[in-house]
Amino acid sequence: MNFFLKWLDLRLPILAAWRKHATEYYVPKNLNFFYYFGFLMLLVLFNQMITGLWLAMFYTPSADRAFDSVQLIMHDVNFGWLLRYMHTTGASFIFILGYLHIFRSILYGSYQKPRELVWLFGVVLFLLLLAEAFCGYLLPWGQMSYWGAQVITSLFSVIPFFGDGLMTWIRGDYVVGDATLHRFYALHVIGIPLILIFVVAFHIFSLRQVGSNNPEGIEIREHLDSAGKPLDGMPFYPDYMAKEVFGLAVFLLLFAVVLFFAPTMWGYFIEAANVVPANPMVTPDDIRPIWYMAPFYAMLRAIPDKTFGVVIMNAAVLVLLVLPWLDSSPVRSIRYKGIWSKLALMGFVVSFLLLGYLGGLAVTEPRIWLARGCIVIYWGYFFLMPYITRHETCRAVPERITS
Amino acid sequence: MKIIFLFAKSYLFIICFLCLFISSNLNAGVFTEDRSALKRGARFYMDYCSGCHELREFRVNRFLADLDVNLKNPREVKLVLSQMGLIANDLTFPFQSSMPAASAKKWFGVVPPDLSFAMTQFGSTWMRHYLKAFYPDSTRAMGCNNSLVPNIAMPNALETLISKTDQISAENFDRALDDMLAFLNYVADPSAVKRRQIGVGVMIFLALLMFVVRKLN
Repeated sequence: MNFFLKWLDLRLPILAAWRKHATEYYVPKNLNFFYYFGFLMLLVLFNQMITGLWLAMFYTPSADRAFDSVQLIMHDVNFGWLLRYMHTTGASFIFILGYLHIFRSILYGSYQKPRELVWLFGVVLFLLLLAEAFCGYLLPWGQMSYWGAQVITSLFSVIPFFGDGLMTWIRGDYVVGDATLHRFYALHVIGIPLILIFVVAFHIFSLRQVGSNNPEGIEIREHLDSAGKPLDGMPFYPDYMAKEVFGLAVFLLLFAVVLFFAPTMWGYFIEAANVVPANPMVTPDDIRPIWYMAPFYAMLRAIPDKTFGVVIMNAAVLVLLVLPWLDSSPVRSIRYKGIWSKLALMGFVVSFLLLGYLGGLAVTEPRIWLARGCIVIYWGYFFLMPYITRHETCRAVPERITS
Repeated sequence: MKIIFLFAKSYLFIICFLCLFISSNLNAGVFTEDRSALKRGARFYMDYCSGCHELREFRVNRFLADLDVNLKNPREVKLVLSQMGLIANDLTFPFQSSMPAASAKKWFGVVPPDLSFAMTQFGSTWMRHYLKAFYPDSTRAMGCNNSLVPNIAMPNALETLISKTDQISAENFDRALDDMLAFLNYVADPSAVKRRQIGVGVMIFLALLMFVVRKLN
């Protein structure tokens, strides 16, 4: 074994990489379960790619055969049902993990200097994931797939001057049809995944350059011992990986519970309306997106003007890009911020969850007003942040991690 | 707050597992694993529904395999098929109805829909309600109407069960209906039987793995 390692090391920098990224890379010793979600997302992404590869072997991306090919996978392919359910469960899980991952970064200020670039790559990844999921959802060619794609692609027409042309260009036809299905398939299977892989690589490289943040917001690289190792750190291998493996085991258990006992999650992971093949002649009573897009869809629906609604919906995600520069707090972590930051964050989370809940329901007058209130609170969090973080009284952050 | 959270976390997976396991098996009173119920349900469906409604996603050979019938034994296959009132020359052929679409459109105004996913679309509560909601209406062509879906083109296919010929008690009617809905539930998601069996094995393995890995820390 030693011989092979030496042979390889002469030709590839594997031993140096192992030392730099595993045995001599230090993470803070107080990382909690919130820090598992990043690598779990990587695992689920891997799952999506492998199950997606196998599904692509049996799926036909043409309008007249797409629905039947999915049923072929479910009924005739050996363990096709397992492949399909793993793919759909993985899709919902990647968003659950993603939202928790983003929440962790907001909670502990992991977007602050020097980690702004990690955060920016992360937001780009979130946008890519939304696009990937949207393209993937059209593929089963059910009623909800078709009409959801029809609604969302029609939003591009709000752009002045070339909106209509852009919408037709994206669809490949005047309405969502066979052409749209083919290109969304290409994007979903290779276009976006390729970009995803590159951006994930940059996300991880930029993180490892600066090291992980921690729940206290203390910079562990500021206190090194005589050998240059952080005093409050633990080596990634084997110490932190041992912790991570436990998180992995718990996650696999939850994933398996959902996969084997409730893969449709009673209509939330695989929507009941999608078992009807797409019919361009019949519009469903209630067109709504899948649960992870519900908060943004609720924002879109609550605003009467189409253009303004689209702007608000897109801006709600894009505002994350400027978050590192909105936060002018001297401390990173919510644990040491003042009461106003805590209240603002609580309002933000509650409004986001409420918007998600409202996005899954039919529209009524009181619900519209509630959604509008939530939009105000959601945006209030970002608009007020520069003022709150500059003027509130924060607690003093300790020098060293004590727990 | 933190203490409650930590406490809940450690039992989260157990609670999650139990809840999902129990609730997914309740299915509004329609169990899929009961094999004799599936057979009776298939019989009921063949007698009263298959004349008009297609079941494109129903695979007879897979159904037999899930019932633990030895497909290599033609006599066993024939016996089970006759028990269910199934006529299938080619076991792999998608299950079709004998009613031609053109005739159906002429007689009812609409082709009777494929019921493969009826349970997913409507749920067992709605289905049960719908099938019991027919009442006599002389103004309609078929002589009946439905209080849940007014002016539906479907006649009351179960009329003979509760009025004249094959009359059975209300209790037995409910049971027969539940069996049929269990069968339709199976057609909508045939993997459910195997899925749960494999799932239990996976859960046990992963729970053991989790406890072993805990020791690493």
